[in-house]
Amino acid sequence: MLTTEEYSKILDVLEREPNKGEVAVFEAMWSEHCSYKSSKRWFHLFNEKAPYIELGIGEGAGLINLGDDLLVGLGLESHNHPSAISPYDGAATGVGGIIRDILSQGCKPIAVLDAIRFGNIEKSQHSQYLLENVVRGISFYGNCCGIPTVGGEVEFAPQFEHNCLVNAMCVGVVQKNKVVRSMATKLGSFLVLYGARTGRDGIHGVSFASKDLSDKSDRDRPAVQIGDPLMEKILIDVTLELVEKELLEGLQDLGGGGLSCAVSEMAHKGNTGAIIRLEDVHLREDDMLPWEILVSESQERMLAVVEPDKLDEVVSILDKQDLTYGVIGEVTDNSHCIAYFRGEKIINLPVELIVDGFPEPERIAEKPSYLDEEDFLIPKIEDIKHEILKLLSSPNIGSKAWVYQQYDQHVQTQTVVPAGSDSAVLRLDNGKYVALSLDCNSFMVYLDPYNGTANSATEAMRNLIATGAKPLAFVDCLNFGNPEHPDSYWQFVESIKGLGQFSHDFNIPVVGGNVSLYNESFIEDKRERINPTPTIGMIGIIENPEKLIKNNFQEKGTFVVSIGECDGNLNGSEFLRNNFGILQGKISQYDKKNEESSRKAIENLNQAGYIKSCHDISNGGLITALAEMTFKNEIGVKLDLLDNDSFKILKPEEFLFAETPSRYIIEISSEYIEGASKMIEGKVSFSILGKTITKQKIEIENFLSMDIKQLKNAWKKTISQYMEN
Amino acid sequence: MRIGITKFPGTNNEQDVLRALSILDVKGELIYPWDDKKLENLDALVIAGGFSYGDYLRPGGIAAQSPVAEKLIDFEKNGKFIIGICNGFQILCETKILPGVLTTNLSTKFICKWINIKTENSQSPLLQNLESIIKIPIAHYEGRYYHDSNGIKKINDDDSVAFRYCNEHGEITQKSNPNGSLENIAGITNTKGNVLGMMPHPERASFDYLGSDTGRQIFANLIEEIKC
Repeated sequence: MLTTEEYSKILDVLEREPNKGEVAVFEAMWSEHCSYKSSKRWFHLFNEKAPYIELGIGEGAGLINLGDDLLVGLGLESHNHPSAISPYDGAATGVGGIIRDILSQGCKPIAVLDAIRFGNIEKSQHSQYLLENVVRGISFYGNCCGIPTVGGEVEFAPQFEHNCLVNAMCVGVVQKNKVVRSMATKLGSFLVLYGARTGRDGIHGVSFASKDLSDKSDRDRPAVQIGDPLMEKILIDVTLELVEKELLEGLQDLGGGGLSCAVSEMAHKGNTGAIIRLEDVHLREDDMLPWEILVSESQERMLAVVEPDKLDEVVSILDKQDLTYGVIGEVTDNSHCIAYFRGEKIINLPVELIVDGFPEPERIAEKPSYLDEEDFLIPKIEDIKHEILKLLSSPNIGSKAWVYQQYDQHVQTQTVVPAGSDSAVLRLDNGKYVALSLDCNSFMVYLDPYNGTANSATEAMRNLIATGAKPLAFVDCLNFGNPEHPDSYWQFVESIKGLGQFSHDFNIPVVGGNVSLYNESFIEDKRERINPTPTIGMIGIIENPEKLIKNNFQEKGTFVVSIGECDGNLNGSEFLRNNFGILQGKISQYDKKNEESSRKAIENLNQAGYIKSCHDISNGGLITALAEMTFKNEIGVKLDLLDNDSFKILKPEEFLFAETPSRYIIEISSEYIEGASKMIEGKVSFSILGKTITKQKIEIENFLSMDIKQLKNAWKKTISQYMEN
Repeated sequence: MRIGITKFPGTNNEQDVLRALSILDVKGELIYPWDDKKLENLDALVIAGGFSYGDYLRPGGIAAQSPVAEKLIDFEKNGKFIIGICNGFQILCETKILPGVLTTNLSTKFICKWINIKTENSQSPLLQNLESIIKIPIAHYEGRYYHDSNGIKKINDDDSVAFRYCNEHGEITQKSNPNGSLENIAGITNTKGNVLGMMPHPERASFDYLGSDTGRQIFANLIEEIKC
């Protein structure tokens, strides 16, 4: 719905009443989802520059030059609202949408990652149903399109019970000279709409995504699009052929806002206008009204700008593959978007007004009252073994194999490291590896949006570093509550500040992303809001494949070393939350200096060939990281902490479970331990924790001894036990 | 030497097979559903995996009705080699070139993971010199091999079982059967041995950096046989 202020703006500019079709276009294009009207004002905080960035924020994919003019494209999008109402189709079309975004720049999609969040699966049947069907939707769509789903994250918390999150990231590759832009520059070029037919599904999808969900949201089911992955696969194959033959002047997928959005955005970027004829759009239902054709969000459609002398060849390729298409209009110079239906003018609007003309709404940010909550009692730990097992069996810590096994991770034969490690690693045709991570710790962000977000970004970075990759750029998906509520907006503003700071501090630019607001609802008069969740998808490069680092123990008798210092802070940790239900207190602050020195230490040690394996310490703290390193090869570890300063000062649970950032565990052969120690001495805080051992146990001298099998069992069955009943 | 790789709408492993062949210095060529006339000039055909026609109707059901598929029976009768991988295996069963059917996994879930298979048949030239245990990925929703008891008896009697799912020690166990296939069957050949259908993906186990290259020998055998 347009606000009074927005409607007055339209009247002022047009000097007339808009007609029904025009109102529908404004409702779509000025929705929060399409216009970023509450968020755009903060984007200046981001670092968007680096010498290797070929295309930044603003189109379907951000493009990064990996050398040899091989570019990699990144995109990340949410499909939260549709997935909450119709999890299977919502998740499937979320994947489809981000694939087409990447395709819009001419990229061949090579990987998908998904970050998904649900309520408490231990207790909530509804969340089990959502998880089951979201995963099935991603699997059905991505697998059929022939794009491997190589990673992501899964998080569970009661805060996502009524508003689940489904964020999909896609990665693609394109040669620099084949890049296509989403703009219409050349006058007289044709607009060719190809792919699926246009139907009534997904009408008002963006408006639906730009308001709170409620118990009546089920009525919005028609606003959820339906996916057809076979059509998407054909669309990918045909588009890549058109790109390869350099037949496209411009290209954009049809997503939120449908045709009206694609046409006006491409004209706006190219400083042109467009005339379209809606009767030339192929329809699924004959009786669609002209305005419905304009804003329908039917999936698997692309809009191409084609120069007149190339039209015949484009058409012959589309014909060969039996793909439906229509030459629906032309690029003009009058900076208006004009649509006709059988000679009748349906809309006539200045492109600038559609795309950028919305009045910025006033938004107020106020610190939420929950952050002033009273002190809490620190629980007394009696049985540390019990606590460790309980932590490892938290669905947030435990194995996600139940999810990942449903995704085809190997198609395209480039997957070197599939889902389940710190980063996914793919081999590119030039022999180099790229590493991908997708992260957010929504609990930390909830307790402190600024530091929690910056620390989530460093976690995404650490996951790359621990794999031996050099971080290059990231995309973000900012999932927050209703921006009209000052406390929700405050979370958003603080978070974006933290993310901006990180991007400058580490010279890792943002190349794209998406903002999803209104992830809150009133259920039986109670306000339910998600944990603020800025999901960060980061890409890094491993120039020399030999520098790829494994994330699990490789050998017996090697040294186990921790890099970075533990501050013992348990606030926001999975331990306090999962084991005691406490989510309160001040979290560890974002610390650029510590983060940098740890990163340098790992990079230098890896360069020197000293690292046998490495894992970052994050969710679940040191003990979780250690346990995860033992599982794959069932190599045990024995820690001797008699001389460990942190262990002496801190309580055992603080030492074992704190999630202090800037930390890694590394494995070093005995022959290199001296050289390695010398290399980092005085430059970073580190300590030799102990050694890997033949016994399949995790032992701490005079304190703890547990079987790997027992730990692994607790960790392994956590999700499947709820999903396979 | 001419090896064709089928590309139906929805096929998505054709590039992977091309890549596996190229490491053996063979340049494969793509065969579209309407390319039935090209078949006579080919020495062998690989029916690549994916979701031909979206697996709509049922996996392989529509592809089996295509012009190319109609020529497959003659192709096989002429003694030319066919390897059907995953969806390709399903297509071979749909065309009745191979016996039995592939139906929904017992878990009713898509399963993608590394598994082990044991080479059974020593007759088919396509199965020579293979490691006895091959580490290889599967990725399918409908990979559970099924046939009536007479049919199962016949393929056993004919020595037509190519691979069975096994554990890392080569033992054929219930736990190592990922999808509920009868007798852990992962792949079969025709009686002559010139047609091989398998659910696991040898092209995904043809490069060290992917985790295994033990599947490559199957393509090497194919090439060797054509050369003879």
